[in-house]
Amino acid sequence: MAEVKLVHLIKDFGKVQILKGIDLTIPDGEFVVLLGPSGCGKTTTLRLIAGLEEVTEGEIFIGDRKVNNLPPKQRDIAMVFQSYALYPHMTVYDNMAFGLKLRRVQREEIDQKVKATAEMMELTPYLKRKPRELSGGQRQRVAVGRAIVRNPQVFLMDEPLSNLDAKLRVQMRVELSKLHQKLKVTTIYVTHDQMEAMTLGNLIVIMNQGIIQQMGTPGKVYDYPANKFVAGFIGSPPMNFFPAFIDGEEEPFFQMASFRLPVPAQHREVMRGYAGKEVAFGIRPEDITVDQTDSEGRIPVKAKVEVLEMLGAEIFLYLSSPEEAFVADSASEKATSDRYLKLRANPAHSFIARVDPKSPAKEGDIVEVRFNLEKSHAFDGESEEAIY
Amino acid sequence: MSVTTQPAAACAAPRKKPASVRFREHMRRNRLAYILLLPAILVIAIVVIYPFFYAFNLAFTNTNMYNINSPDKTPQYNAGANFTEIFSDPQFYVILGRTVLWTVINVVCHVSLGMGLAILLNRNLKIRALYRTLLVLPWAIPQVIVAMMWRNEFNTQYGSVNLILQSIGLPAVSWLTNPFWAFVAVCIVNIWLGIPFMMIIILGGLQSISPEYYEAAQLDGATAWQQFRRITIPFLKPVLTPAIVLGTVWTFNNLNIIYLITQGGPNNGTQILVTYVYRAAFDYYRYGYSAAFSVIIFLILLVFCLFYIRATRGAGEVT
Repeated sequence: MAEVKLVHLIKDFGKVQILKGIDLTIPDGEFVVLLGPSGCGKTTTLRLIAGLEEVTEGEIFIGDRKVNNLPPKQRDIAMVFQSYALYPHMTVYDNMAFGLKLRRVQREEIDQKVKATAEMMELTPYLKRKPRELSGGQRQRVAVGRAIVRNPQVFLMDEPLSNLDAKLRVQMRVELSKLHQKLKVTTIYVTHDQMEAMTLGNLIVIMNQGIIQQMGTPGKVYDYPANKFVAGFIGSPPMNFFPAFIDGEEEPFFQMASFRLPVPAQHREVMRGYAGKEVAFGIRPEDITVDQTDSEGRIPVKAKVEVLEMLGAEIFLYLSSPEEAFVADSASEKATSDRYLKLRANPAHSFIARVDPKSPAKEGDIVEVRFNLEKSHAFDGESEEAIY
Repeated sequence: MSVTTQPAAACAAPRKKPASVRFREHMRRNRLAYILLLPAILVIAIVVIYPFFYAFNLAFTNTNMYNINSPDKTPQYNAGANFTEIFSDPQFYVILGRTVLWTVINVVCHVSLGMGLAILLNRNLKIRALYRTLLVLPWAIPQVIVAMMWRNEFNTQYGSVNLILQSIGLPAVSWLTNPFWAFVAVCIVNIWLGIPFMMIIILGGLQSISPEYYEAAQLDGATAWQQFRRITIPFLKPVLTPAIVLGTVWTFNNLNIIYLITQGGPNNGTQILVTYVYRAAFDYYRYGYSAAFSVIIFLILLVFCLFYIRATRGAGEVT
């Protein structure tokens, strides 16, 4: 077990810079998930740690050792590949024993370790089979087994569950989680699936375009996204954004294209600084309600239900704020200002609400939605960094 | 699926019909397929199947130039006398030994050198296409021209091989007049000629191996040699097996190079089984004897192929 530390890691492929300076310390024994869309550099980061790619600039430490110039086999790591990369001409036993044999471990010790690992991974009945005679889930377990049998300091996992069907993926997710609790080996796990990241990681590192956007616990990155990218990437359905600008002196409010909402009291101070500036108002689907009555005095906004998705325990409403709803608010003096015209250019805005299945809303209805402003977010219009 | 003749099975399986009916139905269903195959079947029958049985029959006769197509003599069956003669001739065993040696040297060099070049070509070279074209050239030249060219290169006085040897201070070698060196010379030519085929086959095999296997092996701690031994070779097996079988058969039966460069000489020093058969058939006109010899060659290769394919199967194919 060891800490993994990346210091200003840069990786170029030809003229393209894939990683633009990654600084990251992964504490000993943590399960860290690198999360991001394809091409964000997460797999490249993993391959640099593994030693499968050469570092362009920066340093990698595993434990106390700087490993930049060490070949993969001397880094004391094990990797689970997306395609598993099980040796097809070897049995499950030989696949797991291969690394130990190459390290000249005693035959009895190899036998004992492989059998113990097979027992733990529930692979004992399949030891004599070749990979092609196994199901997808079994292959996946062999790939993990091959990694843990060597008892490495760090596990690297490159989207290991992406080849499994949805049900098996959930099952394996739980197994991987249990395995980590048991072994407590530092694990770096790459995925583009935010559900996987949220459920598996002690820590999530969100990457985009070769830069770390945010690192934190699943709860933290969900509730306090550092910027608009993180806010939109974490959560399914994603956070809704409304282009807006800040107006009102004493009691600032978000002026959207077709409606306005007050800034929550605790954020007034900071938002006054943004008076007249463009911002993005963000709200998660579960913080929008379509109740007919509202006890908390929230401001109703009219919206049309375009599509309704019934998921059993909840309903996703795909809503659009209709242009007509805007008319009442247009009396504002600001209505003629440039910024306002800019917002007005694209008045119909679609957003998603996650509501109770008992909600009476139907497709095509005009409903009154209410935003839980306490849970709202605001992002700087230019830098896209979170304001609150 | 097998259909049993038990009464219970008969009533359970409604499609159980007499063989003749089933055959007719099969023909009716697949008529077009057979019509399309017919030309190929005919050609194979004429140029392969008929000659094969003809030669087999011939092997048990004393057919020669004097009794074939002769008005007063006819070839007679001679109760395997051709085989007895071949197996009691000490020369046969010498030539057989040399043929095996010739085959082993050639195939081993073809595969090892072809693999070496393929591995080099499989790297990210800038002008890979150019190298590949150059390396394939020997294969593209007609064998007659290759043989003529090399016969001149091996000329004791004027050939470039000796000129090069002398320029680095080595003595000239009498390539085509000394039996040992003549054998070395024909081996060199045939190796030169056979490398490109193996190289292309192996390169194709190498390119189909996913780099992830090598990455996994590196993480497992495999050295370059261990990766070659444990990853490359097993993955190449499906392409290597047929290539080695074909290469062996071709080399074992390779008449062209030896015949065109040395005619089996000097003093039969480069004679292999096929050149010996060729001489018996077309210089000595002993058709029955040559046919018997050919049958023996065929059986040797048949046994080799069966043995080799069985030995390499089951050791683990790669899917």
